[in-house]
Amino acid sequence: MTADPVDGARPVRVVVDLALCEGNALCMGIAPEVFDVGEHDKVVVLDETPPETMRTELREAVRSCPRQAITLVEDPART
Amino acid sequence: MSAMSEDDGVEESLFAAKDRFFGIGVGADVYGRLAELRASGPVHPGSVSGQFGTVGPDNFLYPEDQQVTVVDFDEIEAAYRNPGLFSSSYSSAPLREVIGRTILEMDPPDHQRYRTLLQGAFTKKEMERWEREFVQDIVADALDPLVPLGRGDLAKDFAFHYPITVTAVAAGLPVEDVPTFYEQAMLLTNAMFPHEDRLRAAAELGAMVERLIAERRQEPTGDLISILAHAEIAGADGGGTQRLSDEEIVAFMRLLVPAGAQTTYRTLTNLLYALLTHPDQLEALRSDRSLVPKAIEEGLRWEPPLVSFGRLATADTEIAGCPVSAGSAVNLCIAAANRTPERWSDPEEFDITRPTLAHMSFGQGNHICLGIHFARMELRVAVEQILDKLPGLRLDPDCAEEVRIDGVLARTAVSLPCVWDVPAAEPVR
Repeated sequence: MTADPVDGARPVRVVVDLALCEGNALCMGIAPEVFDVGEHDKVVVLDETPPETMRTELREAVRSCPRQAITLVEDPART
Repeated sequence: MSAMSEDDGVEESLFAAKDRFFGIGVGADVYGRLAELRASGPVHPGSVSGQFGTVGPDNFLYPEDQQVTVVDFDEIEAAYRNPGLFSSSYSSAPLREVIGRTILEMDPPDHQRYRTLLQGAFTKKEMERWEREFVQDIVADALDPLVPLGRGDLAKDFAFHYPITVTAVAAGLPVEDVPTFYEQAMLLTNAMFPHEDRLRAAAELGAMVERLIAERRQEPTGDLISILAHAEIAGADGGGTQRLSDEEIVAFMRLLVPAGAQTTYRTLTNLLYALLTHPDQLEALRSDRSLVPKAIEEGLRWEPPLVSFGRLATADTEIAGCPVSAGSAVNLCIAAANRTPERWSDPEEFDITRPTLAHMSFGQGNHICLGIHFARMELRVAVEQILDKLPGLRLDPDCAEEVRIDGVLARTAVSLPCVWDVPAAEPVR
């Protein structure tokens, strides 16, 4: 796997590129607390700054997105 | 005994012939062999069927010495995500001449234009409408006649029938044409059948769909043919829009039976087999219905309907250090990926309570199954109605026949003899 730009210790923000998202909902299957599929069949991020205990699920959601539309970025507001 | 009409015999024999081609009846220890392969290396020479000494669609279509089988999760995922190097034109050889050119064999940029267009017909929201308008009813029509009997074969009498009806109704075909539609689709998607029979079936199915397209272009009804007939796609040059031609819609309809109905049938029989042979998990599912989606995903991971999917290498390359020459068929073995011990603990075990990790059963990357929401919805409706209507469901203890999931390239429990409790009839007043 490619190196995770965000190490496990720092808070992250979940960012989705809606132009890429197709609503396949793999992320929703992995982390339903964070991802949902909305009216227009695009992902809706329910929790943009999930707790650090969810890091494993978030990485799996990023990895498994068929369109690679999800990224985790450092959240400067919380560092 | 079938719960459906007498003329099912024709369809079932065609289907049995296709099943044999996919290695059903061979009784191969598929997962034992795949575990050996995985332990000895990520890439192996030859086709998947070749690993089992059988002939299937993979080594029927491509020479055994010009293909490799990939069994490592990470390498399979990487290959699915690299359509420039691993082309979906693999699917042209078996299908182009009889089915026509479909999204299955397309690479970027054409693939994305078609995908965008088709996606609108298979969204999660659209599936909620299908469920409400006809799927619940079709599943009930297939299951309800079995309920008072207290016993039946949930593979042959139920799972075999309802997905094809759902698919045909969703498409917009008249219900009375479903058996014909099915028979023709079986003929034209099986490369083993005589070529002239396949071409004739393709032409007849084409004529049936073309009549419907003409009607729907005049007056759309909301079915799949209407949606496809009116959908607009960005032009190849980036400017303007174009619509799907009749020929393109017909080709897509020919693909729907194998891609949609047969995979759902196989997946449901495998999931039911898993639950019936793990009665504690079946009971857990009964008492906590929120586990149904997890059970469906675990069933898909543990026993995917298709063992492998192919790509063609577009250039000389290597996979995990193994040289692969341009033009080679690259078999991406979904079933091997799904039991990777580095990813799942006790991967050979069926366990609906395990944490959800993405499996490979819908593929990955740009070609990930277009019907992902369709399949999940159809499976959920069937499982929920079974739990509701068949209390005490268990394998028939008096049945001498061995019950198992079988197949080399496609996996199915072709027979699931079961018994269940029949509620006492209400006294008539």
